[in-house]
Amino acid sequence: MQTVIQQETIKKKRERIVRRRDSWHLYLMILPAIVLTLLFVYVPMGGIVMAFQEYKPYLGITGSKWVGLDQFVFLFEYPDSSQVIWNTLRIAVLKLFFGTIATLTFALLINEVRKKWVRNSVQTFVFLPHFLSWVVLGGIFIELLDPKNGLVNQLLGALGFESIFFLGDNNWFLVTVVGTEVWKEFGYGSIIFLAALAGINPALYEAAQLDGANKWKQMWHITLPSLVPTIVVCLTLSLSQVLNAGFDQIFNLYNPLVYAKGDIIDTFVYRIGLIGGNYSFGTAIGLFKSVVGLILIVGGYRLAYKVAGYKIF
Amino acid sequence: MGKKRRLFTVSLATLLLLTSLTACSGGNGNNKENEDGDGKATESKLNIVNGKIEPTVTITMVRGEDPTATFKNGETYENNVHTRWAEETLGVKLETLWSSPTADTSYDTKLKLMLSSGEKLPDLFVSTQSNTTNMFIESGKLLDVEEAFEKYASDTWKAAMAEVPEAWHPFIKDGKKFAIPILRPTMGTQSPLWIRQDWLDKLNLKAPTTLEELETVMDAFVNQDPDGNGKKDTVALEFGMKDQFIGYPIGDASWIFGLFGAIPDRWYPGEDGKLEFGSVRPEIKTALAKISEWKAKGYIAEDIALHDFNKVTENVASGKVGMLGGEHWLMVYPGSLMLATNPTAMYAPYPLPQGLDGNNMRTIATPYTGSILINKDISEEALQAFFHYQNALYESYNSEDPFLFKGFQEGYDYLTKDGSVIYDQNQIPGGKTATMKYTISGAQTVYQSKLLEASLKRAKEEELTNQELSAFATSGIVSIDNSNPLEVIGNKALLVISTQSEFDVPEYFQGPATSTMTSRNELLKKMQMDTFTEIIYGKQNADAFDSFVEKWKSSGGDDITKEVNEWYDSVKQ
Repeated sequence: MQTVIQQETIKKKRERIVRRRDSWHLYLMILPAIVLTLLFVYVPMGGIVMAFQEYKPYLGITGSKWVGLDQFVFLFEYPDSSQVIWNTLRIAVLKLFFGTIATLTFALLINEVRKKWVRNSVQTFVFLPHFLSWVVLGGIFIELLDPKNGLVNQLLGALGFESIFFLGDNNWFLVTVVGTEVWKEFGYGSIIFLAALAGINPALYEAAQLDGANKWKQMWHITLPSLVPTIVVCLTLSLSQVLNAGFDQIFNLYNPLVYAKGDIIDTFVYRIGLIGGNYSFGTAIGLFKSVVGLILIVGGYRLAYKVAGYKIF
Repeated sequence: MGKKRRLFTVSLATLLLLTSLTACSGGNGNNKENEDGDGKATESKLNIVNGKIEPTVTITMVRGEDPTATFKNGETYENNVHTRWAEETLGVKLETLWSSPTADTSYDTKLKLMLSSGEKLPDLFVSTQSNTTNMFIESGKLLDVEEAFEKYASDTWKAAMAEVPEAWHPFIKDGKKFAIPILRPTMGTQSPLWIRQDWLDKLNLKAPTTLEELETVMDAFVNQDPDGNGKKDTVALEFGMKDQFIGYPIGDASWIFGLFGAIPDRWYPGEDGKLEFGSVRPEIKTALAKISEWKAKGYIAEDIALHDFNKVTENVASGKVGMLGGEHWLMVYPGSLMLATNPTAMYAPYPLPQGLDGNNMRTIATPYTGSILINKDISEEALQAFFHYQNALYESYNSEDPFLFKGFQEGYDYLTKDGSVIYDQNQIPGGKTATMKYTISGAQTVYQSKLLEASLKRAKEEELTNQELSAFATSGIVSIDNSNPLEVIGNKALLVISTQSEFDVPEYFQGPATSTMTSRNELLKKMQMDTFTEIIYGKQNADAFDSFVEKWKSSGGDDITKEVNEWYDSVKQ
């Protein structure tokens, strides 16, 4: 057994060498892509050095003072840091959770619609908000959610409820932020699931029908298991984004009343780094976010492989 | 096989290295060439014939593109009626190396890149962002302009600058002046009290002159349905407070706090002459308590914490706002938007009502919009040529001829036809274009007192002498034109504002952020916004202000105050 496998691997290796010798021109063809990637993705990473300096633009990276981990120490000693990090995690995880559920549900439902025009038009409509910028949507939501004259509160008033200051109350702010983000993105996010749904072998459904499985059972036993790899991929990839709670959105909706739960790393960096022109601090936080993102994505990948047995890459 | 792979990697790496090397050497080559082309500065006097430098001297510059600047006849910043005029009549060739939009801050980014890449700087350029300006000042690549200014600036220009010595403050480092401020008229940047005149008339009310009367009017504006739609949907008092309490040109809140005797977010001298931070003055507590009371009574919008400039203008445009503070052009914008849907609506400017214990304060803008930065390595000729050019523009304040700049304004800013001047957009071929945007500073030249005198006379609809009229010459105005009623209201506002100029508080701290500011400002600001907002919303009692002040002082506020005063002592003469 052992030897057979060994022999096979040796054989495969030989084949690979032969293949490489034959295909040097193929490698030549990917060379420009490699060069570009190195030049524009890897070389700029050198800028990370700024995170360990007191960067001054006129002194440049070579001339600026080296301060080691000072920027990171500053980040973690800052009284508001832990609050801001927790807020970011809370908002990002809620968005991820509800976003995935909404996206998945929508994909499953729209997949059952047999009338093509209904399907297409609904898809187009839920797709559209994705292309609107938060600057525009921010204005629209502030208007809609106005505690006095806003449409939503007038509706609540007509139904006999008290008016709610959605953007001024910490808990409602969370609900609003997560809700509007899910509304904006679920249509777009469903594409990938729809593609996966289209790829499920119809023979499975035919077989299930023959066995007398109803729609519900088909969904539970065929559709969902077939989607698990896609869900795992999506979730794992999203993990790297878990420290991005959506700057555009929060920045356009938040205000001092909801700092307690609405202030996130990016808005914090904006106020301290960009307004104050503190580049090194901005880079330090960017690096911190990337490192956490990397750990999460590698961890998520390992977990997905161990628990569910799916290999993504 | 291992060897093969290594060979491949090595050759790839070599290739990469080569590409990057050639790229680098290319850059170096260019730099060298530039340096060679730059003649060493020599002391010399320019040969000026009839106001024209012979032979022509070139000034190189880079330009930020003003989003409101327009061009016609295929002209650009590089080549237009003004640059041709400067070359032909002054012998000064303005060479624009590149231009970039200011609106999306890409001009600013390019300036910073120019600095960090070590690229050779142009002779001069304008910077309007203080942190960019400070970077250049710190870099040591700028000319100490004091000597040149003393030597070459005309008496008129010097006199205009001498009126506002504080305009130099932000550009002073170690006692040296590293940029020439671009002045602006500040009268009109303060708030009068804008009141919906139609509402006052409808409810038979008088404009308030005291705090009590202000409250009476506010009460009527929310409870007596001034817009007559049968709904309680009006806001008596509007202001912006989303990310700052002062600084919104429309929806300014400084005068509201000023009624109680302090202005938040602003450094100004206290009783002992030292700068104090307005936000921690005890008067703010009274102000917050009162605003909170007004909010509880419904005089102020429920979502006031979300109001910024855009939201305020939107509310004004939708005709729901009774009173607010704003600069003198409020009726032009957003007033004109309101008129579009509600033609009978009208805001009238009134003097601020007298505050508590006779207190009144409000903010006034800084006397500069930006500055002209000059390269340390500028040639003597170019430096003199720049002053020659700028002096020529300042001549309008000595001239008796409003048509002094006809050479580049006729057919652009106005049209003279049968002895009368036409400003009409539709009658000027190719449309009306403001040529003052083509000048180096991108704005009119300003001599505050003379400009103000002429403006006030115009507002009073008095006859202007030719000399007074000439004060407007660089802005392309050569006669009195009252064809736009909204601008006339702006002039009236100017008049109202000028009667209360003793209330004006400028920002005294103009230096770069101090070291404690860099590390603590965000924290302090957030603490302040939090406390103030919660007090206004009644979530915390006004006494929370006291603990805020203590915390502010101990978390770095005291250090900042010390640093700010050290800076102030260093520039104050």
